[in-house]
Amino acid sequence: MTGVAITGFGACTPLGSSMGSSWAHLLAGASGHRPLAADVRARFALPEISVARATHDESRVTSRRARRMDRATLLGVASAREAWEHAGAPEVPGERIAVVVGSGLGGLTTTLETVESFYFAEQRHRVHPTAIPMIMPNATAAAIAIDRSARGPATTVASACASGTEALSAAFDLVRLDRADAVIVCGTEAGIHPTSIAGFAAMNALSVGASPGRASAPFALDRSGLVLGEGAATLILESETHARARDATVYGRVLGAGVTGDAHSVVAPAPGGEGALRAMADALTVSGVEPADIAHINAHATGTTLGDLSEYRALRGLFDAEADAIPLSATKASTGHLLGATGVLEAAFVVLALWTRTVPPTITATGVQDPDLPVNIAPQPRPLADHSRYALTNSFGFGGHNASVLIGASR
Amino acid sequence: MSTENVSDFVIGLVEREMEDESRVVTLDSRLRDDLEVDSLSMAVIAVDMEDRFGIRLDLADLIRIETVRDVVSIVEARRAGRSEHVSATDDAG
Repeated sequence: MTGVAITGFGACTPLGSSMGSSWAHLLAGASGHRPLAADVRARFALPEISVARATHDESRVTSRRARRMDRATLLGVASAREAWEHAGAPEVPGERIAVVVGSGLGGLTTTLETVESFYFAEQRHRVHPTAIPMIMPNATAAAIAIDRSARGPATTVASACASGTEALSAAFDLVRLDRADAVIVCGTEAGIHPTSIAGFAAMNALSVGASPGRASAPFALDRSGLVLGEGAATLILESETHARARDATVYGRVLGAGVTGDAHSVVAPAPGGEGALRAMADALTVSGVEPADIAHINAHATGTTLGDLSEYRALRGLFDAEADAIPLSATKASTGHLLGATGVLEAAFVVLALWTRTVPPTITATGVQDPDLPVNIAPQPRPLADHSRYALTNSFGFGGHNASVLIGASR
Repeated sequence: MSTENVSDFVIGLVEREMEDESRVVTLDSRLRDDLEVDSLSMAVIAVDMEDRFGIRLDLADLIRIETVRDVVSIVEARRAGRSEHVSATDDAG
């Protein structure tokens, strides 16, 4: 089976309108969290929370096209364009380009706005002809495929907050099984709306009452929940043979992936982190890498009480005492939780960590860490040892979905 | 609205639906063959015209349309028909 090279990336995130600016702001210790506007809070009786909204480069998708896209699709297409350009706009026959998109909520905002204006409004508005193509969950995959003339499979993965990492796993298989020479893997989410905020709040998933700087505080004693975020990230996966033939810069390699299910609860992770452990173990087995060779982990780490605990138990189960020593990053402290987009974004952060030999900071690690979760996090960027070759990125989602991807350094 | 203004409005609508901003839209442009306007865009154009001119377009109208001029003609015919209808009612009253 061919190797799987990573040759390009793009992003629109709460930290920046490109992958470069997002990474730079991450290392600089920036936070994408802002307090929810007081008028919105008052109008819908929402709790005092922070949200993390993305910025994007508006010149990437012109207004004509954008009018037909839900914001999730718009951000996805913008990040895919950046990634494709970053990969050097490779010459690949359309039939050999695949698209895999991960999204938790799809075109939720358009759905809600359409229902509001048609079903509930006193002055009924018609449903616009573009509504259904904007709402359908596969809208982003289709839009990217059309935009890039990608005529191979265009697939959508929906496993809540595991979507992005699971999309990466699916793309990894497409290249390994020689179904495509290049795969555009995108995670995208844009579901910040009073209704979704109220829904997440009703589940007690959101961090309430904390200052924006501490609203998302993974592994901290005062962690109180997640910060709802939006954004998109894209990676270009390419067969090693194809990348080498065109002399492309290879930023890293996907070496293994594991996807498992808890079959336990629709919201709570399995208490021992058993499914998460199996996902990581599978990624290691597929890649042939030993646990002792893992030099860095980007944890899922949403900053919820149960989620962080369960992930820590999984890490202890797999790495034993080493789990407390491996340099770990919980980047949602800076970005908020991009739900279905988070996996691809954090995988890109791992690629960049290996490429630049820098472990990104967990900016809330200035506070008191939960003594039961003694993972190795730090509020500043840290150098990665020169011999470090391998890193993991984890994502877990409502529904009991667990996904882990193992990334290898290319230099 | 004069014929000229209706033409401008319709051309504007068609231009807005086209992804290739470099294309020039004239009254003789064929929507599907020259401008590659798809069925969804046709539906959007129809909805916008209905909102702007208060007329109804059915599927038969959309199928019959070939050029931008055909769209303008349908709008004008409908508006003329409606004003005739209105005046007839007035007479009857």
